[in-house]
Formats: sequence, structure tokens, C-alpha cells
Amino acid sequence: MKREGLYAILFCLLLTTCIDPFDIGDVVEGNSRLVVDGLLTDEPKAHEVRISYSSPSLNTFDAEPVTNAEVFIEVENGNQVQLSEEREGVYLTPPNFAGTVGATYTLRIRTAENISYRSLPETMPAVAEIDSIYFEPDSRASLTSIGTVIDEWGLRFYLNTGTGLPESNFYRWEWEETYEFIAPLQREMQLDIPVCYQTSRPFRALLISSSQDFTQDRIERQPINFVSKATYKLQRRYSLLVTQYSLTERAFNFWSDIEEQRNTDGSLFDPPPSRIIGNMVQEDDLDETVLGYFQVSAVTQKRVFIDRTEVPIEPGGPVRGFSSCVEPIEELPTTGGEAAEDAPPPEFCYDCRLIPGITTEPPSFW
Amino acid sequence: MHSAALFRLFLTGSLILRTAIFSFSQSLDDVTVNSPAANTTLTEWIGQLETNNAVRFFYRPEWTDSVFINDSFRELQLTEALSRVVRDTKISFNTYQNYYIVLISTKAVVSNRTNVDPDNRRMIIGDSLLADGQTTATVSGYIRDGSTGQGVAGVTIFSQEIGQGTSTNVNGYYTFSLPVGDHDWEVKSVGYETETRKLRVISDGSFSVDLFEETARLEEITITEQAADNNVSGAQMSANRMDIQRVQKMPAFLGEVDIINAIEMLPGVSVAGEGAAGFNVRGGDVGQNLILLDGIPIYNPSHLFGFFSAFNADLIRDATLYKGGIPARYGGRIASVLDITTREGNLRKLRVSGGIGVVASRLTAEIPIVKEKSSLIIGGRASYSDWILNRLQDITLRQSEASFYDANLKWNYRLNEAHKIGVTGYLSNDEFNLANDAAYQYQNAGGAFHWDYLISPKWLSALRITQSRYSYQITDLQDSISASEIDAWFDQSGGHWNLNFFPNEEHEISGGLEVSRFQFSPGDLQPTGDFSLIVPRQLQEEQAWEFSGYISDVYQINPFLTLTAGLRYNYYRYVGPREVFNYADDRPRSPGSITGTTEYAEGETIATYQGWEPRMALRIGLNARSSIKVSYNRLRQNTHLISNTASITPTDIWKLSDQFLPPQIGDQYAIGFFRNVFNNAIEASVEVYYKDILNLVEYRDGATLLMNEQLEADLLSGTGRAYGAELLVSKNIGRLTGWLAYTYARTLRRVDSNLTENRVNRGEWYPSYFDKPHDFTVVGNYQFTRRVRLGVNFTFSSGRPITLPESTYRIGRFDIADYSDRNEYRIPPYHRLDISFSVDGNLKKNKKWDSSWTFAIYNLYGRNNPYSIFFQDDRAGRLSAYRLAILGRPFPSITYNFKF
Repeated sequence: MKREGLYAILFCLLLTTCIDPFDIGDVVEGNSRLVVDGLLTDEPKAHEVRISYSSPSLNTFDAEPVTNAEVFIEVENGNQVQLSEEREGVYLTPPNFAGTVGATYTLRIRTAENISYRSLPETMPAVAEIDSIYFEPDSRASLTSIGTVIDEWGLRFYLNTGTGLPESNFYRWEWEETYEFIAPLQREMQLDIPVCYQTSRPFRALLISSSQDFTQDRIERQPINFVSKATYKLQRRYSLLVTQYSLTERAFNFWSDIEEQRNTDGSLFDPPPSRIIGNMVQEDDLDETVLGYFQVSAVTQKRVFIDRTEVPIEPGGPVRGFSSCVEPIEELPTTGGEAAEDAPPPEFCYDCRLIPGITTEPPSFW
Repeated sequence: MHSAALFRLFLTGSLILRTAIFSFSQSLDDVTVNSPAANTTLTEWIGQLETNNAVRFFYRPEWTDSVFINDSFRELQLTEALSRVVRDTKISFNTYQNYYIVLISTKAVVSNRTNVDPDNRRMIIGDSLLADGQTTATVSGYIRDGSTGQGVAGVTIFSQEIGQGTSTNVNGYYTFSLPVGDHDWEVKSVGYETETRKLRVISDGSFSVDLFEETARLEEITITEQAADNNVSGAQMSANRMDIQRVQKMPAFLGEVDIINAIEMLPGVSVAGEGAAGFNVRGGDVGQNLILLDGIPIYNPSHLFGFFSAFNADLIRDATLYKGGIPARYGGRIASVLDITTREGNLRKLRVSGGIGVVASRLTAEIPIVKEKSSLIIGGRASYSDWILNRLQDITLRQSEASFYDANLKWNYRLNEAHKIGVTGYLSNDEFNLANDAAYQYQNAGGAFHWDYLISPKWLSALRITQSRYSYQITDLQDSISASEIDAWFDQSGGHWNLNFFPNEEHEISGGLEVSRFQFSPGDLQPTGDFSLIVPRQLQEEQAWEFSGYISDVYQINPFLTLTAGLRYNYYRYVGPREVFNYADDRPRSPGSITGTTEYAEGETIATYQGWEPRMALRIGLNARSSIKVSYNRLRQNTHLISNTASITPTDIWKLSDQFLPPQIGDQYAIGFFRNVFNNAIEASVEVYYKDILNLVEYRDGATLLMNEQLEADLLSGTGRAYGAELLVSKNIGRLTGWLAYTYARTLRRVDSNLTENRVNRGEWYPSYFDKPHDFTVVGNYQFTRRVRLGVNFTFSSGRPITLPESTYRIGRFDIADYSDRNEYRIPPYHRLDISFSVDGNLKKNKKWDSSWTFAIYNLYGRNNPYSIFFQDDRAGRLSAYRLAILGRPFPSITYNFKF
């Protein structure tokens, strides 16, 4: 059931704020534990396992990498795949190594201090193809600078998936968006109008779902992202790439725990926070806490494109964007002392190449 | 001559009127009357007397309708004239405050005639014909509210001569055994003027007294709780009685008078945080409190998640909280009993009262149905709290809606002196729509039927039949494939029969039987909306029966030693239909350790539990001003609140004891020293307690409690212990009243098992969520003038324990916190000051419209009390600690109350 993490502020009647940053540093004694973050998929590539100690300081993230460990993945038939340390704490499988759906894998680690860790055996679940990615005009509430609530319109993208794989009930998604745009303003006599491409990934969106409670073995209308008409993302052409990972039930529970932890808001209605248990254990001392997860997933991807012409004007009006790029109003000499103090628009309003992270070459898939 | 007499009458009349307002001294004696026209009935004559004189009668017309006045007299003293008129009737009368005349019919107890002894103005109780060498006699009767006619509970009747007293039961009935002879009685109760009576007791008889509310006309507000020296002389310990008048004088959050918030100011009672529903008593969970509203068990006592209590103060008469030494008649929850009694309607005239506040408005009507016998009281309260949400800066809350209402009804009918029946109805509802995303709704609904039967002055039977339902609904408001609605409800119906027996002045014996039937439906999940793919799923309903029997005796061994001994036996049966999972013994319960299922037919026993619940208390009087009290009690609890949050939430379920979940058992030992000083003006007590709790319900980390078919796999069984010391000093008399309380208390938990997975914190003791060692409260009320008063509350307590991250790590792009052992840290201490200022309307005794204004400020100095510390990504995506404070600024409010 939904627990959107909003109870807390329910009676935060302050007109200023009642949620303050709090320095926890002097309250808590830090405690480092071994952390494993590994993902093995069915794609042929060098798969990465990161091993570190958790950061004892909460103010600065300072996770000490675990170096010189012996790391290998054990396949159920007894074969072993050795991982090599690429850089401090990051271990890679040989390139072109791919997991197989239905096979069971165990991660084994022996640190330089000769302590052995292993994962619980994980069997790679199959993944269904993504049926469709589609969008619907939608709005989200947005608070303006003067404190009024307005509807911000845009497109909400959804995904349908999961046919014919009754055993694969658990999924996680990641997405990436790419869009083509030009600078909104042109100077007089400007001949060269560059076209730019920008690719971005979500800040930190955790998208998981399962069909275990559903009548059909399908996941439909899974919300992926929201693209506001107020941005320039929909200005010319927009593309969304969704990667779908199959999860074991245990991995799904691990991610659900993370989702729950991220949704806490400090209210008394929060379940008490607790340690998230992954699938790593210490070989000789099963009671020792080892953090993190060695995840084994099959992967599929789907990309869609939206042209500006496909974006409906109503509701919400046409696509806007570049709100800071307003051409200066000609100063009227008759206004005397009240000269407009508008700063000239930033330079990127004339040249999209000045926006960090863009390319002018269309990506290969464009 | 005639006109001169009239003039004199007028003069004395106005004089009486003037003095009546202030002191009512010397008035009735000065009223002289002439006989009315022949064949006037007494009823008519009383009407004339009331019109022409400053005198007020209390009587029942059926007594006086048949009395005709044929005497003729002139300028006779009223009392004397009246004595003549009633000489040969079954009517006698008393005078009060030289203003009221109360007629008493002796018809009901013909042999026990009460008369005024004309010589020394003593009331004669009993009949000299029956006296027959008796040395002791039993006097019984009712102490009633003179303006409503309702019996007043907890009134003390004290005989100065023998230095002993008794008190009235819930119906205002008392029995008092005392030696024959002359007695000066003092009849006292909270909020009423103390009456004194001179009596000559000859034999067994009846004697009733009407009490009148002390009004603002008193120079000094005197509030006494029970007997002035009940703190020292009463046998009960660890109990606090709260009259609603007292609660109404305390500052209330946003002006909503709240009995639960008042209870939380008592020593030994704590609350997890601001706005948390429920309260913790002496280390007990919120689900371990038995909350009874006229005997109806209430499962969720709060509105708006806990910001307000679910009980409309206008309908409450009083509430008693038993923290320990719990009497044998109560059972079912192990930490405490909060017994709330609602008001009865006025038996004499229609009254309407109400109030308008910033959160909600209230309206109550009291309707006499049969004069002096039957009345109805109906009251309701409804909120307009959307207004608050719309003031907020937060976008989600702007789009949210919250509202609540509650309604009470009480009807009672006094068939005759021996029988009284009544019906109570209660309904509360809460609704909260979270940003058009999900809607939460919950309701309490209950009804009770009461029948009190006074079999004889020594035997009193009380029967109560109750039905209670707590239910909630959670609905997704947005269409998605997982859109669903969850419905849950928890039903309890039962009967309770109690018999009191007062064989003599040393013993007060009570016994009774209680039966309850539980039917819980912990969840029914249904898809909603056009897109939902949710599989409809209903958790199996649970059924159980509970039978209890008890007997107890309050034995006054001698004036210095009172022993209360009680024993209760509880038998519990968990029955089908139900399909239960069987689990492997050697592994923790989980979906993987299921070995099969067993099917139970309807009514078939799945599990039974039974056991004794001894209750003992001993009072040792050291002298008239101090005593020591010791108590022990054991209670068993078969209904469990399944909640791993620190507060009752609208998504918590209740669960019955089953084959996996044994009853919780609480044992409490307490000892206290009680002392009154300054002529009972100041009461002081120190209590120390130790409590052991068996079979506490605890939870695995990350437990799923809602819609979980294998709930037992997420539950753990723990043990608890709590101990503490409570110091209470209260002043109940004078312009300044209030109390000062300090509590030192610890409450610890342990969940140990031979299976590692079934341990919490490696099986070591850890503090519970509401373990707040230090707790200090001050409640004060100062009466500046008759109309103006100031109320102050101050509270300080240690911060509650929380679990904090000890390190952080990254999985993919996500920062994750690694939490410490459960409840290893604490949030900073909590303190807050509230004030209120009340101005009452005019002071005339017979005013038509009575009104008052209350201005209150909650959290006067705007303390930003941390409610919790939690972790969220900051703007840079780093996990950061945040402190949440709710109500972190002063909250002013204004409330208008009226009554007519």
C-alpha cells in the first residue's frame, strides 16, 4: 500500500520550516562493515563488483575500498570465473562474460586479511520483452515562488511488460533520456544555428514492481518518468530508453527495503528503521553483518522517440522552455531614470553548445 | 394591616433575594406565609410560593398533586406551615442553604420514615418502632445533583462522630453502616458545594441529599477529588480520577478539550511524541490500555492520527485511569484501564450547550423525556480542519483533506428507586485524503445497554451489554494497476454482570462474570479503478470467545488496615473456521518453513489459554495524614495491537491470541507512600513499581504487517520489564490548584531465542520506543476572580529512543544507511509550556445564557521539539540527517462555549 512518506509534514504548520538538517556526527559512533555491490547480467561484457567498507562518517562519504581481494563467481556446475581488480575496490569479470538465464551463481570473496565472504546462491530469472512505452498528458502540482500551487503540465511515460513468463514476477527499471534542441534566441545576422543533443539519467529514481499480487502476470501502466512542458526537452525530439532488469524475489525484497528506507520521513507512522539485509554472508561467522547485494539479472531494453508534433498542445498549452532566456526589452529613452535593469540573457540562450554535457553529433541511435 | 404584611413580605423577600446571591444566610426562617384558598393542592401552592418568595422547591408532582391544603394559618413561618401541611402525608422535607426546600416521599420505604425532629432540627432516620434495641443501623440513599437529578458518583459521606465515611457508587447510591445516635454528616464531592446534615439515626433507613454545583459565586473555588483525604485513606493506589471540569481548566491544543492529553500529564503516563495516538502507562504499549466509554471498549481513541482525542469533552463526566492495583472487575489489557463515564442528560429541563473553536464545533442537547425519570443527551462534534491544511506551504498537504466527527448519545430511565436502565451510543469517524493519492478512513462505533438493579440496600447488581467495532478503509485514489482498497474491521461484543454486596461496614464484596466474543477481519483487498490488476484477496477472519469470572473483597480490618483481595480467572478459546499453516520447529517461521496446513471447522477450537489473575492491595494507615499502600496485580491480554510504529496508525491491525501468539501477561508490584498536609490541601505521594511482561509482541526487522497471510512469520515474542518511581504533589483547594509530577521510569524489552533469526539486538535487553527515563510535568490553574482564570501546563521529558545509522554505503546510485541496533540512541529532550486564559460570562445563578471565552497558546515559547531524526537524500543526492519538529511554534487558539 502507498506510504508516500508524507505523514510527517502533515502537521508541520510552520510557515517557515520544521524540517532542519541535523548534525548527527557527534551523536553516533561510526561503524564500518564490508559492502558488496555486484551486478551480473546476461549481456556479454565486463561485469563489475565493487567491494568497500561502509563510510563511518555520515557527513562525508568516505568508503574505503577493499583492495587485493580474491574475487570469483562460482557457477552451479562448479566452474569459476575469476574477477580482476581494475582499480581500487572495483573488480571486473573478463570482457564478454555473460550470465545465463536459469543458471545459479555465487560470488566468493577472500580479502587480503584472509576473511572469506560469499553470496547466497542466486539464480538468474528470465526477463520478458517490454511490450510498450507510451505517454499520456498529465500534470503535477508545482509550488510557485509566491506560494501558490499551479499545475505543471507535461507528458507522463508508462510501460507495459511481462507476457508469457509466469516465473518472472519481479522487475526493476532504469531509464535514460536524450533530446535534441537548439538555443531559443538568435542574434541578428547569426548564420550558424547549432543543433545540440543532451543525454541525462534520472537523479535517483528507484523503479521496482512485481506482478505477484496481480490477476495477470503482467505489469501495466508502470510510471517511468514525467517530462514537463516547461523544459526544453520536448522542444524538437525526445527519446526515452528503458532498461528492464529481472529480479529474484530476494533481490526484489532488498530493493523494496531500500525504497522503504528512502521513503521515511520521520513520522511516528514510519516503521522503525532497520538494517537492510542483502545476500552476502561471512563464511566463518554467519552472524556477522555483511552489507550489499550480488544481483543476478537478465536485461532487456526498449527505446521510444517523441517528435514535437506528437506533443499535444492541450491541456497545458504549448511546450515552453528556457525560461531564463528572455530577450531584453529595448530601453525607451523617455522613461528617464527608470532604466530597465534586466540583465542580458545568458550566452547559452544564443548558443546551445555552451550548455554543459551536450554533444552536437547526433547519437548513434538517433 | 394587610398591606403592611405584604410590604413586610416584599421587604424580606427582596432581602432574601439579595443575600441569596451571596451567602443564602438567614432567609427561609424569615419567610412567613398565609394559607392558600381552600382545596388548593400542594403542587399549586408550591407554585405560588415560588412565585412570591425567594424559595425554590424540589419535588415530584405525583407526591404533591393529591395533597390538599385545608389548614388555615396566617403569617406562619414557611417551614412551620409546610410541616403542618405535610403532617399526615408521606412527605417530609429538608431545607438547603436557606433557599431550597426538598420534599422527600417516604412512600417507597414505608417503614423507614425520615422526619425532622422539631426540637434540635435533626433529621430522624429510621423508625423508633423498629429500633428494637439496635446498636448499629444501615442508612442508604442517593446523593443527587440538585439541578439535574442525576446521581453523583464518588461523593463521600463522612460522619464526624465516628470518624468514618463511605462513598457513593456510579449511580450515586450509598450505604453506610453506623452506630445509632446523633451524627453530623459531611457530604462532599468535586465541583459541588459541601453539605452538612445533622442526623439522628434510630434504625435502618434511607436518606438522600441533593448537591448543588459550586458556582462562580463562591469566593474561592474548591475542588476536591473524592474525599478530601482519599489520597491517604482510600484503599486504591496508582489510580487517578479526572473530572471533566478539571480537564476543561487545562490549556488544550487548539482549544479542543482533550481528556487523553490531560491523562498524559499524570505521572507514569507518557506519549511517544506530539500528535501520537494512544499513550503509554508504566512501560506498557499503546495497545495495552483498556479504554472504556461507558463500558464500550474503544480501539482507537484518537482523531486526526492522535492530535485530538476521539472523545468530545462536553459529553464526558469523568475518567479514571488505573495504572496499577487494577480492580478485579477489569481485565483484557495488561497496562492500564481508562474508564470514561459519559454524562447523563438533565432530568428537569432542556439544556443546550456548545462551542466554537478553531478546529471543530460542538453541540449538545439534554432533553428530559419523563421528568425526574428519564432523559436523553445527544452531542456531536465536527471539524473543519481542511482549513489548516490549506494554510500550509507544503504542496502535498495543500492538496490533502482531513476531517473528523464524533457523536454520542445516552438515554437513561430510572424505573424506580431500585431499577435504572440506560443506553449509550458512540460513533467517531476520521477521513484523510493524502494529496488525492490515497484516502484513509477509520471509525469507532459502539453501543451499550446498562441495567442497574438495587436488589436491597446491601446488594447491587449491574448488567452491561456492549458491542464495539473499529474499522478502517484505505483507498487508492489514483488509477493504476495496483490501485486497491483495503477494508478491515474488529468487532467485540460482550456482556458483563457485576454484583456488589455490602454485608457490613468491614467488607465490600464484589463478584461478576464477563463474556466477550471477538470477530476480527484483518484485511480485505479489492481492486479499484479501471486499470487495476490487483487480485482480490481476503485475509481469514478470526473468531474467539473469552470468559472471565472474578470475586474481590475490600476488607477493612481496622481503621489502619484495609486489604483488597481479588481473583479473576480468564478462559480464552480461539475457534475456527480457519486454515492454519504448520511450520517446521527447527527453523524460524517463514514461507519456506511451512510444512502443511490444518483446516478447522466452524466453532472448532484451535487454541485455548486460561489462567488466574490475582489482584491484591493493602493499605496501612500510619496516622490520619499518611499511609503506605502495597499492591500486586496480574492481567492477561488476548487482543494484540499489531503495530511496529510508536503510535496507533490507521493501518494497524488487531490480532487475537492464536496457536503462535500466546496471551500477553503482565505482573505489577507497586508500593507507595501517601501523605496529606495542610488539612488535606496538599496531597503528596511517591510510588515505586516493577513490572514484568511475558509474551510481548515484537517484530522482525522489515516486517510486513498489513495484508500478510503469514503474519506469525513476521512476529516475535519478547519479554519486557519496566520499573520506575513516581512523585506527585497536588493542591486541590484554593485559588491556585494543580499538580507537580516527576517520574523516573525505564522500560526495556528482550527478544531472545535459540534461533538467531528470532532475536532482536542479539537477544540483549534494549529500551522500548517510549522509554523516557525522566518526565516532569506541572499543571496549574489560578483563579484571579470569580470569572477569570489562568491555566498553565509545563512538561519536560527525555527524548525517546531511536535507531540511527552508524554508517552509509552505496548500491548502484543509491546511498543507503546502515542502522544501529534497535533503539540505541535518543532524540534530544522534549519540553513545552502551554497557557490558557478563560473568562466566564455573567455570574447570576439563574442566568439563561451562560457563556465563556478561552484563549490558549500551545507551546508558548515555540520550542522546536524534535519529533524524530530521519535520513533523506539532500540536494546533492547525499544521505543527510534531518530533524523533524511538529508544532514547533506557538499555536494560539480561541474557543467560545455556550450553554442555555
